[in-house]
Amino acid sequence: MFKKFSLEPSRIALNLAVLLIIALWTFPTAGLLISSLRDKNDIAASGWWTALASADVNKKGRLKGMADQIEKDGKFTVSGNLFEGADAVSGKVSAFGTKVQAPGANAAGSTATLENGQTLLVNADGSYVLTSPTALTEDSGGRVFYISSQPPRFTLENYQTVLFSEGIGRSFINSLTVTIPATIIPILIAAFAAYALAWMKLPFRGLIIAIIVGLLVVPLQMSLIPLLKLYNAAGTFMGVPSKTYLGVWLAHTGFGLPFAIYLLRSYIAGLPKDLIESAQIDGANDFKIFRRVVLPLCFPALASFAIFQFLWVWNDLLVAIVFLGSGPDQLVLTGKLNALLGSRGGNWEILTASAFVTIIVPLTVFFSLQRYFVRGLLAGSVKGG
Amino acid sequence: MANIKLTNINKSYGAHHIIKDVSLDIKSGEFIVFVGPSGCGKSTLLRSISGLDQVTSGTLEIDNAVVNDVPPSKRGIAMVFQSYALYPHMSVFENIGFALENQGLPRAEIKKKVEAVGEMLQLTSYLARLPKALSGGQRQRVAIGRAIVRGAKVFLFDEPLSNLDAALRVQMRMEIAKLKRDLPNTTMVYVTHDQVEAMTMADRIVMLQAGRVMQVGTPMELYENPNSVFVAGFIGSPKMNFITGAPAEKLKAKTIGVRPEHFEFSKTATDISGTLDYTEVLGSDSFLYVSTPTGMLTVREPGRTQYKTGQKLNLKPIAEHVHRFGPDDLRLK
Repeated sequence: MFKKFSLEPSRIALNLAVLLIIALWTFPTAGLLISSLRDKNDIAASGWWTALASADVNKKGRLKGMADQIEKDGKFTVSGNLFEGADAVSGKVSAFGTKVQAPGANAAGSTATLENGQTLLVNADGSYVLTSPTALTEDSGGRVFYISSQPPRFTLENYQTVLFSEGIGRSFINSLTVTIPATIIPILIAAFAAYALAWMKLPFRGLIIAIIVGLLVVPLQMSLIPLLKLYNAAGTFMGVPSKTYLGVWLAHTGFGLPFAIYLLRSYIAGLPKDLIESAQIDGANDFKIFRRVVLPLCFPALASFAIFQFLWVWNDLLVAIVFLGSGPDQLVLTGKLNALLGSRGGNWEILTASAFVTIIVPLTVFFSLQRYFVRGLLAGSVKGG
Repeated sequence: MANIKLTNINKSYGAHHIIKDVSLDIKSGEFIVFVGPSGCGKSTLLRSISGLDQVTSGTLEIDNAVVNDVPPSKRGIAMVFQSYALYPHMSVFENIGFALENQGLPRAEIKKKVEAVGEMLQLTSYLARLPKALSGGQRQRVAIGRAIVRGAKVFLFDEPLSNLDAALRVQMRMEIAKLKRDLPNTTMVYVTHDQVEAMTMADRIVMLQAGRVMQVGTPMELYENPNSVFVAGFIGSPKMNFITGAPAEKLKAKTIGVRPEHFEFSKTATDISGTLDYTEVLGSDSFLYVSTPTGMLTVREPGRTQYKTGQKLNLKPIAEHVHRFGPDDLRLK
């Protein structure tokens, strides 16, 4: 227990490094989120870090005229509220004045003396009283300039805009259409392959494993175009159009398989030999052992690969550009973001909201599956467990 | 009912010759213990019988049928592993019922059989638990339950008690002995490196060294008539004393073996004399460690001892309990 709190230099350095990484990660993400929730004018006016503070805005209003004046003790008064009316904003008056050059001449709650002997009292809540020694003769009252401090304002408008008018919603669906099958298909294939390469007696097993490890280092860019040509040739032969979701699923599956097999094989090979042998003696065939014993036990490895593959496919732009078209029914989120950068480069509210829509799914996937990274499902099966 | 017959069994892993020409006849319903030091091939021999390992040459018969090429599940055997090898994600019920499930039995029948076994092994209230929620002894019982439920003709145990603590080990030893009594027709082959387990449970012990069978016999045969220095030294605790030199030559042997309990004390000088180095008093027995010119000897005395450390002792082996071994370390007739 004491060890936990000891101040070894290496531990301090480690903690500082972790804090630094967290900060590097969290600040931009938080900035993105806050910006995306702000009003588009606010984004242009101030940085996201000021979003929680109240903003001072210069406003103007008009007092009521002769129709509302009340005579009392030989004086005429007009009372009302600056915040009433069409562009009413819930806010607070911090200062007011009657000249446009000096909107902050008088503090809220004080009485200002005007030119013709009139006095004007404006309170923080916007209520005012104009007192005049003579009867008002004009239909509309004088103008008042005031500084209104507005509370922070957050809105989901930007999301509404990007999801429904900018086409991000459609691209979101497209991305899911690409990502979910492109995650599941390689897992299905790789799990079978990993079991076979780990536990079944096959000729040239070692060689096959070596080739798969070798494929890990093949750069995607090198094989992308040959793969596309191959796919198109095969597609033409079988009468399949060239840009389809099937093509992008297959491409992602191909690029994901070496890593998937490598990761799952090392995990499955690490399962206790006794378990597999026990199942053999219990009369289970390889398929049954795989399904009933190995598959449930390698769930943490499946989950960790699923996270890797999902994130990689979700964030991929290159494969999607090559294998999918750029029409609204095929453009994925990364492609859409890229397009928006060009067409709406100045509209930060659009870009930040779009970016946040893009990262929300990876974040969800990671947080919902991360416990499988650390969970040991093997506890209790073998000695000392 | 199933006998097991091994004829000239050899097993090699590449250049390593593990099992060397082992022939063995295990009778139906017998409790056989393979015992020997680590690396003597006893587990490999058991795995060969189970079918998890293929023999390199020789014939293996179970129930009078050659099973060399029969897969493990078809040999009518059940195996209890050292690590228990319970399926960690399955409940106790599923663990025990897995073999029946593989046989394609209907659910109701699986339930009936598993519950019967659960009752027999006092696991009834644990059937819904996962293995990780069980104690070591209970896990062991689940592993045994998996073997019982299939009604296998042959049970193979691979050092099943080595993961348990001393007290539990004694208890499980008794439970396995009781299991054998309850299943008199089941042939059991048990591998251990612990000679106490071998002595207490076996009908017959198969003593192995470096892949060869050194001696086969009942525990008492091995104790009373070990056919080699190796067997004599392995069986019995504390170890048998081996004396070379003059006292052995007098009996026309290279080595003589005397168990700690087979010494007498003599008032007059004998050819085995020494000083008492150290005593261990256990209450029921005392072990005296006597330093003699031929080496350190262990002597067992019942009850407490009156001898003091540093005292000079004259030892005399009891003539009829002296084991004589020749230059090849084998027993002399």
